[in-house]
Amino acid sequence: MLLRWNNSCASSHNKQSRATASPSETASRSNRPIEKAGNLLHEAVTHDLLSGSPSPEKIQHLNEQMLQVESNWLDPAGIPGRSWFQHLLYSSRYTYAHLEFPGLTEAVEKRDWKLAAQQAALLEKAVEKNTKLLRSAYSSWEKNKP
Amino acid sequence: MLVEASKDVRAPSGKSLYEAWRATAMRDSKASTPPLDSALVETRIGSGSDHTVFLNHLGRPVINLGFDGDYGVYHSMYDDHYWMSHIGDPAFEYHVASLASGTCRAASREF
Repeated sequence: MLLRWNNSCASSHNKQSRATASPSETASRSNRPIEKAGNLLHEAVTHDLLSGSPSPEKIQHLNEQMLQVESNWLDPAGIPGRSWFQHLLYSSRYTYAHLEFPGLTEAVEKRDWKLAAQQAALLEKAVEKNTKLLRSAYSSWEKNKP
Repeated sequence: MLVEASKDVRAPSGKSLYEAWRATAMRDSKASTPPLDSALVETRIGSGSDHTVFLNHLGRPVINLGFDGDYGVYHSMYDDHYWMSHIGDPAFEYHVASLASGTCRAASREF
């Protein structure tokens, strides 16, 4: 779950800038705070999993933090016009086709710049919140060395 | 994680699931070389299946694993266990490979 999450984190943020290199290729030399925080945690956890066996309590705590990261991508108000769809990064068109950053993308397509700015602000807030959470997950992981 | 796990799982053809996956991706994209590992997993899955409520409403990570092939009975009255056990995957070896790639890694490495 952790590896998947880290990749999805990295790839969703690369999509923002349409980076030409692949997520894993850019991740290690990324300057984006959230990717840095994610990679730091990812490397620490991978290292500890390969070299020993962290306690079930420690893993449990980390899993809870990872689920919180996922939940933080939700906006309780939902994306404009479709309040049931709360995920800020992933959604779909009415055809089921994939749609990333749905609120922002649809606002830009409608040329509704005010709405676009609001949606961009929501994304920014979520990214900041998760960057903080990843950093705190990293420090609590490192603090409880066996 | 899925790409790593697919190297440890044998596809029904005898090759590793990873090799079969790369070959299929190459065929589907009509490219002359297989895609990079980082491009194998489709991360933009859209909607149209049962995962939607978990991802879009509840904010839970989702994975969709599957094999593709001649089908033809989708959403018909013939789309049932009889079809699967006689025609689709009689030995259930594709089912085992799908399950193995998703769960073995999660169970053996991360818990």
